[in-house]
Amino acid sequence: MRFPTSLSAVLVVVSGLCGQGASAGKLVVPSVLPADTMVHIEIDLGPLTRDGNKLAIAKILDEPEVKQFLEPLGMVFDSKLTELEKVLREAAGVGLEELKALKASRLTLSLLNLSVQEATTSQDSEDAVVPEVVLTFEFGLALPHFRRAMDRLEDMIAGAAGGVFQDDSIAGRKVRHLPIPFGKGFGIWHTLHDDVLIVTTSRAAMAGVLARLETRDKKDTLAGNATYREIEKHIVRDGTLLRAYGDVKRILGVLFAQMPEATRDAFSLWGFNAYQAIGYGLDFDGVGIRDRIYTRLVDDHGWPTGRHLGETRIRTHEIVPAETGVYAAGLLDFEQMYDALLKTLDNGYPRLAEEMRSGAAQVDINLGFNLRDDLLGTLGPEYCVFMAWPGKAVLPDIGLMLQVRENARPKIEGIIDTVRDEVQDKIEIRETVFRGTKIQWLDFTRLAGADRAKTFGPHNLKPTFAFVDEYFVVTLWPQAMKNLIAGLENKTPRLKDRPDFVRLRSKISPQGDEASLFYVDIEGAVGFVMDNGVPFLQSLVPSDPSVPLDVGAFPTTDCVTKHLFGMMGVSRWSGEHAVYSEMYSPTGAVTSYVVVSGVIVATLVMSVLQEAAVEPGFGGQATTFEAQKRDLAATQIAMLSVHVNAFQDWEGSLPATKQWPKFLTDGSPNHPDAYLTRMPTDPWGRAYVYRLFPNGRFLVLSYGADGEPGGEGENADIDSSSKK
Amino acid sequence: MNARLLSSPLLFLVLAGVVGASSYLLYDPEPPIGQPFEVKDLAALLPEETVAHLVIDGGPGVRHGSDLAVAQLLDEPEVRTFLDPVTAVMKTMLKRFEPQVRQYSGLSVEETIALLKYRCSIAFCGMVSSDVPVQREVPNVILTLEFGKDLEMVRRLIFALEKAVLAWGNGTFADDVVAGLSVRRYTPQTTDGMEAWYLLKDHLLVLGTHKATMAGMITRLKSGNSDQSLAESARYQAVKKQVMREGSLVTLYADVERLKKAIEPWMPEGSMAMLTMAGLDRINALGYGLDIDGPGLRDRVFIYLPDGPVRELLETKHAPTIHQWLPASTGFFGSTSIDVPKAKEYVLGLLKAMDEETHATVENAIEEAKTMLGFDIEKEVLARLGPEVGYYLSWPGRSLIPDVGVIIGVKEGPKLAGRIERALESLDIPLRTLEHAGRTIGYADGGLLPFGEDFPPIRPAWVFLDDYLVITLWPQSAKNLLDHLDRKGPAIGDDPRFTELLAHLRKENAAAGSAGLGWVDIPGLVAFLCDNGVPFAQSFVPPSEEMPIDWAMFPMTDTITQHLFGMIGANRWTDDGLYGEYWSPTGYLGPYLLTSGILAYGWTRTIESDRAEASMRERRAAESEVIPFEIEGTSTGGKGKKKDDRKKDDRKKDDQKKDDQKKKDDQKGGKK
Repeated sequence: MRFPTSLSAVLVVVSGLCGQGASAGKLVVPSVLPADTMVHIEIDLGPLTRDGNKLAIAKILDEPEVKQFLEPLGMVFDSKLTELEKVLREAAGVGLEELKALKASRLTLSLLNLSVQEATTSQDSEDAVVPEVVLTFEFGLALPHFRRAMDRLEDMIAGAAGGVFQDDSIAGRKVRHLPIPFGKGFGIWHTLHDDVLIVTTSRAAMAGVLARLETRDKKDTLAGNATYREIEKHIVRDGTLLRAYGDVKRILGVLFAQMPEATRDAFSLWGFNAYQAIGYGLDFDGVGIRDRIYTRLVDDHGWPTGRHLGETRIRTHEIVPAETGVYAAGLLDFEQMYDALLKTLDNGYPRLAEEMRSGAAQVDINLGFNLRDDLLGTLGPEYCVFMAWPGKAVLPDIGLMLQVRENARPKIEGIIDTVRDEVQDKIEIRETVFRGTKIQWLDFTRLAGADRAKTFGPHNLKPTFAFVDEYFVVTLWPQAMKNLIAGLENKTPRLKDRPDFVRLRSKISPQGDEASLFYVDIEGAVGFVMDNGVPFLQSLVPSDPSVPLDVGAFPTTDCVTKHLFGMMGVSRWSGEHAVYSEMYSPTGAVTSYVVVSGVIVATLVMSVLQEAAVEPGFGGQATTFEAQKRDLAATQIAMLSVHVNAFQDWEGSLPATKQWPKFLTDGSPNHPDAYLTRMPTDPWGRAYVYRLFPNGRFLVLSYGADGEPGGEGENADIDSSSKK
Repeated sequence: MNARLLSSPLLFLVLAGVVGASSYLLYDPEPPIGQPFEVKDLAALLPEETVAHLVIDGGPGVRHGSDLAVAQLLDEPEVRTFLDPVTAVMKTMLKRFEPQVRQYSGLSVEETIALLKYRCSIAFCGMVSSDVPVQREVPNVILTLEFGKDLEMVRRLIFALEKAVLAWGNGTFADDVVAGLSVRRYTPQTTDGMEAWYLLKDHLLVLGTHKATMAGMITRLKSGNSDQSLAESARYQAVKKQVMREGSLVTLYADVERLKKAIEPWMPEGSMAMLTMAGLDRINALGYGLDIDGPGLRDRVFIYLPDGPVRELLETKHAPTIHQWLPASTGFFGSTSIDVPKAKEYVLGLLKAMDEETHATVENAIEEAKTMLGFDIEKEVLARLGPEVGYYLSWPGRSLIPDVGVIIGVKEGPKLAGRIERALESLDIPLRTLEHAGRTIGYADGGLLPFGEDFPPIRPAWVFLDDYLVITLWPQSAKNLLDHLDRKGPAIGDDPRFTELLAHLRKENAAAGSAGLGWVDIPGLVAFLCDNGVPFAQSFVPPSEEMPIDWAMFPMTDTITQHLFGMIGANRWTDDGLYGEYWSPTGYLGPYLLTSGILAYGWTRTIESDRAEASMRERRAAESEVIPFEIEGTSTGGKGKKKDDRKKDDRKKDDQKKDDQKKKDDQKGGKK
């Protein structure tokens, strides 16, 4: 079978099929950036080309079945790349072959500052936020090609920006400059230092970079910044592919200044004020991708650190079953968390804090226990959430586990009894003993009411709780609790026994000293999606001639899943002011998150665009859409007319004009209940109009799309005498 | 529980079946130890011309029922906890009917249920002439009940029944003598009644509708001579040998030849000729037996078919083999053999008998196809197919949708593949192929067919294995099967869950399964239903109004499945016919009947509910139409009106009073 060469060229980026690349790294970019740099991102393609082919993903793409499936796509790529090659050669003087040399390149992007420039003309209604950016591009092997391409690239950029590159001189070096009328002093400055292209968006930034290059003094550079160094130490390894640093405090400072107060308060409520800086590193480690995140908090962050928890270890993975697909556990001082939350609320939302205190006081008065001391004080420090698929289940058993402090169980049982007595007229707490363990569940039948209780629906849910081992466990239904208890009694394998879990944990947390731990069974999830999605795809999805993929040739599940393994993440406190998190997975945790979020955002954007396409002005479906609006208006008018007639039945006369539309929601003397719970507006967002005539007739009407009486087509009025 | 529950005859039948089947569990004042009493060979009493004979014996159920997997399952503490409220309700319900039961049967409910432990039978011996009360053909039926030591109880039963019949006023009872023994004779008064005689002798109650047949039975009973009895019939003996055992719970014998004669007058014209053309006239007798066999129920079926075209078609010397390579994850499979070229001739012959014109059209189409394709379908396709044919459903990995496949044995696979592809291409079906595990999978791309939205874009696939052609619903299924074969994964034929069951059947006859095999993974099926159904039931299903089922108390899946095992079916040819047997924890027919009953109940409930709703709508509509009629003053007043209507009148009167009062107040205000 022929595997298209151009597809290979594309896949090299992903799977490193093109062979070994050399690691670059002559210029330490942070040492030429100012110490207060806001964001610094560095991408080094060297590790990708060196180690990419070891990745599980690369191995999947290298499977003959997958190649067979993707072959038609590769052919399309071939033709597209041939076209691209032509365009590139014409525009930049380099082709794809030369671009392959980029496998040893390194790219950095740094945001030094966000300056706010006030609106200078009446047309500029808002202040402009002008970014001061430094971009470096270390060409590595591709330098000779790019030197050739620079002139053409300048022309392209200048053409696009509507200007001309000029020579400039900064710190005795020749610098090329393109002014861009976006903000004061904004433009493009670029120069070449050895094999590194340096680009900035301000003259000052370029001057700073070149000056630091000259002095080679790390003082007052990002590399000399203590926080940056601390972060770099944790996230950067030999062969880190992607690293990112963000001075969160500075970024938020700029953003907060531009934000409405409410938004700023919301950020505060979520604890963003506690962040000093954050760092992210991604590197390849054998078949998997390792994500590292280091979060540096401000000194007075107020977060519950749990440092006093000492040697407490997470051990819920000894309780949850081996067939757990999603597991997240952590250690937390619940009382401290409660206090921290109240403190944050006191600062940003005093009214909410007061309400919370008042609620807690009410609990104290009505139920006789203190929320903080008697409930939160008995729980923790460990908590966990899990989703397990027992046997042949499709619906997972979902559970929450909270550790119960020593000797605290009677107290919690007392609270449950108190609550049971208090709510028994609405919610019944029922119980049974299963294999020696008391299981209790909430029965909402009384709350639902006699009629609703007889119907299908989520009001029949039976959230269940029980004390299992030293944990208070809550599940969505009794069977999930029974499965957990029976599994423990029968000594069936637990998550801690699962080979994948054991291997991953020994890899990223050999000491088992995590503050939080999560695990996702990617293999199982992909297997489930493929086992069920592919038959659907092959039986119900029509072939689209414009898509070159043949769903009939979709790879088998095993051929994909045999290369996969779970995703595991751990977090630990690093001193009192930093949290270090590490994740290992076949797909990359952050990458997966970004891809999934991207797909969701793209889907949303597509749907918005589709919706916009049917709005007037976008052509296409406008007529149909408008007709639907008019239909809806006619239906609502008919419904409102029924209520006007009902008013007449109850009150003996039609509603007066001044009673419209108040009577609909407030009721009338003989009909004190509302006729409608909510007054509808017409499909164009305007209130419906009511007219009463002397002859005893009435009309309910909408003025159509224009909101004005009369009109034609979509602007024509619709009233209760109109026919739909 | 309300009495409405019993208003549905279908539900009553289902419940009766359940109660009957599990009566040994419900009837627990003293656990039945019942020693088998001396049972009579009923066939030796019945006349040779007996058309059908059904025997139901509760004794084996009493003695061995507790060995059953289902009984052990019901005995699990978790299951008991779940079912206790239901059992209690059923007992209460039965108690509620105690007076009626006692009135009509003279027995308590418990005594009535206790009767189920005895053996009863019903035999149909054809139609006979009767002059009482008018001359007509009546069914010649014999009912028997062997009741062990409870003679007094049976006497009470008979006495009460006689009383009840007399109370209805439909006839009279009188003493009579038949074949020298005193019997009671029932003489009907109405034209739809039948004469009947009954006799109580040696713990045997015999009831018959034809005096001569009754006399024959009594004579044989007295003499112990079985001459000219059913037991002497060769057909009966052949059937008995295959399906009837010492402890059978149910046995059924049907003399098909006599049955055909008996029902011929009621059959559509030409249907008998059709049966003959189809070769089904060669089926002389049928037999069915159900035994308790260890933890399972064993259904046995025998079709007395000594020769004829159907036998020639189906009796090949090929024993099923697909279980030797189908994956162990197979939930269902069935395999048998058929002579495909003969099948073609058989179908065409049948078609000719049914409709000459259609037959000619089909023959022409075959000839045209031959010309169009350039090869002889019969010689180059059909002759290469068979004899084994089968199907399977397997659930690979975590799939909910099973891989479904049809398997046909083939000879000269590559040649056949070429012919089939050519045939499909000539039909303009877009074909695609892909290589997988060293074999070529072909599939028709339904997605490219110009059917639009009227037809789902299915992609049926096929792959030739060495001696088999496997057709699947989509290509992934074929790939999964090839992967399984390629990695030499465990086959269902090697799985102890299957092999142990087959070995059990082969203990009795080594040839079991030589003509066909079937398998259902009951534990897997039940586990799937429980694992997914219970969370749903516990979270979304409202409490039942009729049964106190508490879904929260539903037993664990393992609690149920630990007692279950698969259902195996095996067929073999004997000298006289085709013998099939099924061994399973639930019985082969039981679940069918129960499921059908429950579905039918659900269906009738839906219809009832729809009718009630429609009636309510009509009532409301009628009521709403009445109001304006009354407003215009043409009403006859409150008398004869419905309560609701009167309320509305009252409300309107109140409104009127208010209006009058308001006018008065306004007038006063105006004066002021």
